Amino acid sequence: MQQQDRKGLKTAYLIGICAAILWAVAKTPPIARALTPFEHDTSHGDLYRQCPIQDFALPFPASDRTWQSPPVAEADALLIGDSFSNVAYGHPPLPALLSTRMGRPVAYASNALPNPLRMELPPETRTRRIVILEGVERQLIEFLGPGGRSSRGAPSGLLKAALDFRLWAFLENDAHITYLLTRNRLTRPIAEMIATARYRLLGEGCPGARVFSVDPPMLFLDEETGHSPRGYFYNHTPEVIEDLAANITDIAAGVKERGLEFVFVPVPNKVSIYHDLITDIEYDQFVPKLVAELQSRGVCVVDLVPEFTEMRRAGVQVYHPTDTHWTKVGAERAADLIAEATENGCSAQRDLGVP
Amino acid sequence: MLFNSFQFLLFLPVTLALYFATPHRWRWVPLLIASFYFYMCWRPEYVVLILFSAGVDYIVAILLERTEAKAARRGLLLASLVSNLGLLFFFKYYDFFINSLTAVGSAFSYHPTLPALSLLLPLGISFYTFQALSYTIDVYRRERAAEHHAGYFMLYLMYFPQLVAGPIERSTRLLPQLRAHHTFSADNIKSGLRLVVWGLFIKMAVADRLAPVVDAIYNQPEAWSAGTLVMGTIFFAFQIYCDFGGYSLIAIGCARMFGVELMRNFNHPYLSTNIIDFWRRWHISLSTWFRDYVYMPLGGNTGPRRRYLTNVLIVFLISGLWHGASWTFVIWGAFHGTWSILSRITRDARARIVGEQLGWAPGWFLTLYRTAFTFAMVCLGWIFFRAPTFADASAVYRGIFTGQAGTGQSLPFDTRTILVNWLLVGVVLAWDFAGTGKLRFDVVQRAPVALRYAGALVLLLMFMMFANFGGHNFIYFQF
Repeated sequence: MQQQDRKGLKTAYLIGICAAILWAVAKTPPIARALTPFEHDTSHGDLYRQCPIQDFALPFPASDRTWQSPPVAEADALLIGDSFSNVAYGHPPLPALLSTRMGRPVAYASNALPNPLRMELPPETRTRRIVILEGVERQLIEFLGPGGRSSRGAPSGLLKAALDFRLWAFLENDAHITYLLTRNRLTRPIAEMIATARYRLLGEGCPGARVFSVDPPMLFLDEETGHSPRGYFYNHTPEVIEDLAANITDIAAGVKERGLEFVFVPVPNKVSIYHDLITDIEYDQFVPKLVAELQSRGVCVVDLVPEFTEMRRAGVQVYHPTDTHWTKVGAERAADLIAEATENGCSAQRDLGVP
Repeated sequence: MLFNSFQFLLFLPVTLALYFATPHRWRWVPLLIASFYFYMCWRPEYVVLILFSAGVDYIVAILLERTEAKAARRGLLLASLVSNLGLLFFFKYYDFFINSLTAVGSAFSYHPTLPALSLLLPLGISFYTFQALSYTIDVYRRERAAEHHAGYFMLYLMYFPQLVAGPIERSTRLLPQLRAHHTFSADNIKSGLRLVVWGLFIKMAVADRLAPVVDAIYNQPEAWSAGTLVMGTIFFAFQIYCDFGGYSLIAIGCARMFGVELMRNFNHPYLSTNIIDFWRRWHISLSTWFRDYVYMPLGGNTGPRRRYLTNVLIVFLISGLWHGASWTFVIWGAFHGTWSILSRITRDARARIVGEQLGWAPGWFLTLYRTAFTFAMVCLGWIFFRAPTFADASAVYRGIFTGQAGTGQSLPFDTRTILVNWLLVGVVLAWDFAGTGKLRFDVVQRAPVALRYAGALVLLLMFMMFANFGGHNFIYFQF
């Protein structure tokens, strides 16, 4: 072996060892978290975290983490929701807003497995028992459509352990390592520099977040602006809407069979309200069409699209410019409408045709 | 695991260090473990399919070696063909078959009761199945001995650089290289790295930038003008070239670092001067596979002309179907098959006409004309390849050939984005031109040091500015 090869081999060993250490660090949560404070940084919104263009470092309200969900056994209503139910940027989270408006304790559960029939529900001892299912538009087909997560059975303990190991060992690798390599104190400034340069020279955002509007400044989630079932340009055929509505109706009927009321709240994507900032193509009214289909099937649904569209026309900021979620005004208006629907008894009166 | 992921950035040096730190006799072990890990990062359960294929072919090959009776040998080969192609059919073509049967049946009031399964296509199944088949067929033909070492045989099927999207290697080339004693070579690392870097550049900074524009255009072909549709089609031509060509370069570069030389898969295909030339330069490992295991057994170009032209058409139809379980791919194959046949039939007449009508033209002009014509025709074929349905493809053709004005809506992309995309297409084309007739990296190596560093810096800046770090899949993973 020549001298340069010997040197090269030593370097290869060194790089290999460093790479192995980095991998191990990425897989060790306490160390990885300490090294990547930006992973959980919400100081400018989740889209800014994804794409740190300095021109978009706009003021952003702090997260209010004071609210604690009551136990389901002590709640009249259970709100099963995604991040829209959980965020609290300058306002209490949705379940807290609902508790105030409804005058009843509202518990919160994450919609990681959004089929209410597999969850702990408000007990029969409560005076009213309501299930509110919230889901953002971009996840409806994937989570609640045919074959979605809601229709899957809960895994057994052994299988769950195996799946967890699989996730740990394989599937989450890329996310862990990407966080470690791109969101640490050393590389974050480089990422900011590149993002800002790309924006200023090419007018582009980054993977995960796209810039479509400078005046007013607005970032959009990549997947919301694409052609996949999560995106604005997806072809929501009548069959897609019917299948989705049939699934949600099944869930609603199951809840009603157990003697509970059911309210469904599809939250429009940010792009569905601000679509004119990204394209000339009109919104295909996916959510309003789904709402109409569900109402015709007797499901209690809250349609936020007309209200949010009207608020935006009136100059109200419904969504944060550098975050995917709603503002304080948007969250409060959503809570008003949901409370109104439940307290007016729309969930109790509908006939779902359940024998 | 994706080549264009941060995970791979750590995986490669760890594997390389482990490989060279292990004594030669046992080097197949870290490489095989790494290959399993590489594949299982996607869907661990689907590794069972490769294990099954490998098990069948390993046993069949050893039995073939020990068997003399012709009938028994044929039976063994058939067992291998049925098991390998059966898996491929079940996972890749079952739904296509059922849907086609339903469509045809409903025309005759026949409604088959078999349901579509909507199975997830196992990653790389078309590639490793073909690699497995070539091994068994070679042993059957007595062109090579059976591999008795199960570890090396498994590694031949699972070698991570080329596992999921080729190049489809032959056992006669790859197995001896996997067994050979490779000493660490700094030159191999450097030249391998150059290939990896260029492959990543054309994948992440070209293909992945072109992809969203192509998607937007092909998603609504009726909405755009003829010019936009042409642009979308040209962008797709470069997207698929840079995507698949990029993957192949990374695969070749990675393998070279381990001392293994994989076959070249692309040879600047868009500089081809006719369709036959194109297929000698595009996805070479697949073209040569079809030549050796389908075209030649069918009779090749021997026998009556009609027979050999039919063989050409059959190969292209199968090639189309190999690419995807959809009639659009079959039509794409038929398009290339028909064009190849016409090209062969009219070769003499065309040469005569060119001689008579364009005798005055300088050679470079004729080459340019032929190259442009071939590229335009290849692009016309790509429309069927890219469009999700026959109706969409028809809409694109209609839009282009009727000079469609579109609805007047603007593409949801900044003008600068489109201009940068054209610039990058130009860079790829210029790079191909520069490399014509020689290994392109030799050109780089011979340049003065200052120029090389300046070039590397420009490439790095372009990569930082233009690359899409979102970890997009490679198009050929779906095949």
